[in-house]
Amino acid sequence: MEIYQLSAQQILERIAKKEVSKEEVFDSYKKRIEKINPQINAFISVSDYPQEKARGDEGRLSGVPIGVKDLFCTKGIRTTAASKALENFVPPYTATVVKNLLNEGAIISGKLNMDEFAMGSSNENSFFGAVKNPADLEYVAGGSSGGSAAAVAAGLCPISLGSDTGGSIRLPASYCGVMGLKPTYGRMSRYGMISYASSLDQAGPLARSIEDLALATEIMSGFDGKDSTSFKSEEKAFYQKLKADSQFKVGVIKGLDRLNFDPAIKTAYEEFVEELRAKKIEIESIELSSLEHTVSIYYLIAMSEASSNLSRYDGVRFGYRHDFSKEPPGSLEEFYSKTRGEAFGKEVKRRILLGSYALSAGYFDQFYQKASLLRRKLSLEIEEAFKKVDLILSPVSTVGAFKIGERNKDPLKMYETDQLTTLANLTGTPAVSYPLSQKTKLPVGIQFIAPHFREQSLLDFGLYLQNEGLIRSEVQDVL
Amino acid sequence: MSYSDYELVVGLEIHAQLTTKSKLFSPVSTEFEAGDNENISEVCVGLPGTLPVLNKAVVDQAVRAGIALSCQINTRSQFSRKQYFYPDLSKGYQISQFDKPVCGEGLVSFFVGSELKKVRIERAHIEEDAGKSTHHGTHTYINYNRAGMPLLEIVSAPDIRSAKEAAEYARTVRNILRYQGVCDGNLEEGSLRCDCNISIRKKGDPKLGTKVELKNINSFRFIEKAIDYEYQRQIDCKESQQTIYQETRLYDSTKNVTVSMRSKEEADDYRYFPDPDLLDLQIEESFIEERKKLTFEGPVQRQQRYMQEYSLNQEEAYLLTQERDHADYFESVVDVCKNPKLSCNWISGEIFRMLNEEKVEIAECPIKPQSLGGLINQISKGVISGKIAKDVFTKMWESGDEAEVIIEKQGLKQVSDSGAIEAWVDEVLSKNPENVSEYKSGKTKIFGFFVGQVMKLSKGQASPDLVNKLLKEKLNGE
Amino acid sequence: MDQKQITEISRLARIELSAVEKEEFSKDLAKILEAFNNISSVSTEGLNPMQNPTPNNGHLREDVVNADSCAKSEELLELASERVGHLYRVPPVV
Repeated sequence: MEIYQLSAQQILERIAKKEVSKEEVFDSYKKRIEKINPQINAFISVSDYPQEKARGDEGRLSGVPIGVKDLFCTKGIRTTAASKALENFVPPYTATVVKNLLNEGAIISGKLNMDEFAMGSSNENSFFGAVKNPADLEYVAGGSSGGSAAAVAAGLCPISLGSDTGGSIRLPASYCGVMGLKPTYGRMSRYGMISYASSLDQAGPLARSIEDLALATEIMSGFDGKDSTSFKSEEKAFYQKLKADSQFKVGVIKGLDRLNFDPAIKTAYEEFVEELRAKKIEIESIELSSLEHTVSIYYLIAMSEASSNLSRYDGVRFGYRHDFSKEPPGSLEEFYSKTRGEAFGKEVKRRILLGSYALSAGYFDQFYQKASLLRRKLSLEIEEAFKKVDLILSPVSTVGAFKIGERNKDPLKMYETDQLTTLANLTGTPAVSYPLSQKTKLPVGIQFIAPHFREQSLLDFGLYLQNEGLIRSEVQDVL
Repeated sequence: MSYSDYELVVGLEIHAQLTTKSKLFSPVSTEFEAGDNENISEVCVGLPGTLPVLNKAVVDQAVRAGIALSCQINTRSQFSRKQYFYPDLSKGYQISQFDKPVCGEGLVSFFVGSELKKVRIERAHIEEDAGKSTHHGTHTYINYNRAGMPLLEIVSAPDIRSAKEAAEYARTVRNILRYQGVCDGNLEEGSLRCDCNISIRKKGDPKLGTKVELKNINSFRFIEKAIDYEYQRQIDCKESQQTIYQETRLYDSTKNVTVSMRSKEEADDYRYFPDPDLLDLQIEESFIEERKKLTFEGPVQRQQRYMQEYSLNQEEAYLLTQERDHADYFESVVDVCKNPKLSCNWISGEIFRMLNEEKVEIAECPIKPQSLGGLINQISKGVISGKIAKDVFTKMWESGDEAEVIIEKQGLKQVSDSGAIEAWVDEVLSKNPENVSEYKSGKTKIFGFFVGQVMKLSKGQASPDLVNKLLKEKLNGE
Repeated sequence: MDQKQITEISRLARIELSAVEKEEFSKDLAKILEAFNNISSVSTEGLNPMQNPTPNNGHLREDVVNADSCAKSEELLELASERVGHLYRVPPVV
């Protein structure tokens, strides 16, 4: 097997046996990136093998190259959030989750493409161009962590970092055929991860094996004094405690038919449920009456928070500023409006405008507040469901990967793809996307959601499914 | 109509900077003396990916301030974002508290003249300060040292009815906060800032008039002058049928006028919403109870107590209670000498005069309360006279010695031996026969002359009471 | 959402929009808001708004100055597009 086809665990083994050096591993990935990246556009910047000083030579990921979504600040490495606003931004600090990986010896292979400020479901909203699906270059990779999913799928790195605000890890993982995990809200520090919607954002790993996913989750997790919402927890030895386990009661959502499903997706999901039944997994129906409102609830909250989080991009202290050297601004307002009007792409502008509207005098109660109330309702429903079942199963999205340019003319059509993933973000629950091993035209994933703090259940059940051959992730050759 | 037909209605928003070592949301120094942008971090300037983490000491101080202002302390409060664009506001929003402040309703009492005035507090909330912009011709320069400084904004009800009351209210709040050690109250350095909301209405009208906001007035005297000016201006507007606009005005102290800063033709839409980077602030009841025990008695309570317990008059009690250190000093002196009246006189007289002359704080006063109490004891016991005591005081200030030691060393003890005094009296009478005859002929006014002569002869050490007694006996008795 | 509203919102958000963008956004936003408004009919009686999904309490920081854990002033100033000495500079603001 080529190095690029190996999992992180296999790479570590080969390094331990001195069959290959860390530098050779890094070089072989770099060559692979140079060859494949021009076709899929997964990387925004590619790093060099770090100097000894900047390298952790010990640790549980020592010598493993990881790709980092360009949303995570990396000290001394340009961090753009795929926006013109941060085109030349080099942060003087490193995101805590990245630090945690570096402390275990991981090496940053580069910064990964994404939708601008993580706003998008197809990765077509990047200032650096769309990411292409390694399984078929005419198709989207999914967003917003499209570069993270495509890079892992194409064997440009064994593990990558993504972020998930409304499905941004799980959707591209599903479209590209890799595994992705969004942890419990607060499990991973948000410090240094550029905010989109603070109450929904979580970092998470993408990988091609459950073992790698568990190890990365374990290492990235942990309390951070720099993030008020991060929590202290004893139960985070996800990799150390990892064991295949099928003893879970799986909930399926009643009346999923009411959603507007792509028939192929529905079929794949139903077949998977049958496969579980055949394995004698206990399956029970659960009610989730707020499901049809998740898109509205999610987008109203996310856009409101985003409109505020993105106010800091004003060209005063950092980032892009309109060139006023020829003509100074006529007013302070113009100074801001010109800079911000040029710094942001279309989708980002749309969300800032909508968010500002949803928070503005006279509309606050109707939009932001109403959505926050319904978020509570949804959370209570999820809580109720978890009294009956251990995990909730659903498709990742109502649609599979679509062709580039097919949906981005109609924002609502794009937003609809997040209906099922946003469930976990709104309620703060951990969730995964695992690639089905069924033969489909393009990869398709399945979503599991667990109660707060129960990442271990997702991983243990995942290992069982992987061992049983029900889920599978393989490197796409990219032709 | 005349001025007296209008009533002034004022509410104050006081921004008090808390005395923590580090900023509200970032471990950066709050030191005032710092170079341009020296005290900033990635959090203060709002770099991407940075997050606020609340300083525990801010909560502690806010709760203590709230207790001292008799506020309801809310066990659950929330941080919200107040959104607007301005270069000195680094994130495009200010983290503040909106509909769920840490401190709810409270009450502040204080004396205006002899009248005890009560002003209700509507709320007090925690918020971060913005940076500072300076304008120089073609550009504006920004220093973010102040960005993220912890402030407590104390909002009064519109209960204030005169400029004098407003200034006295502000002084009282400042003293209350200084008493608790939660704000140094330095107006010049901006650690206490005051916005006044001013309106007028016809007397008896229950409806409030259009409110004008005066921003950032930096002295209590100016508060009084600015409000007086604004009161007249608004009445003049009304009387000449002009509209009073809801606007923000600035007070120009050199011209003693207020000028319009920005009109609110387009009302600001701050789009407040709960800050999703911060969770609700939860405060345990037990924590509040504990803080209550640590809260010092306030200046006005002390003033009232001194009037009742020690029979001091209002003015005397007021002077002693302006600073907690002064009041503490006073109480320690009283503990030693049990003579509040003399203690009060000595402190507001000699001690304050010397502190002022030597520019020292009472904490550095070379005469400790124990020693001043000792001096007063010497006076009460009749060991020395009040006059001698002043000399002893000066020597105590210079040497740091106890009164007793100085009296002993310098032989300043009052002479109460009637034999010795009688000898001095006889000497004076025999040396001044003309004066004696004068006195006897009815000019009793010159009695003081004899007392003066005897005291002089005794180098001031003779007991004045005895001198008086013996002189009277001798002059009248024969 | 009409052109006037879009102008107001873009002013509030300090984002300059071209005439074409205004045209497009006003249609878009109207459609999106109409769709989102489907939540208005759902009863939310007796519910508290949910601002954050964590079941935990937030943690607070000790009152200590820790310059080592932060970027240096100079590193921060370097990021600005305009500065003079140790001050940030912007066009005149009055």
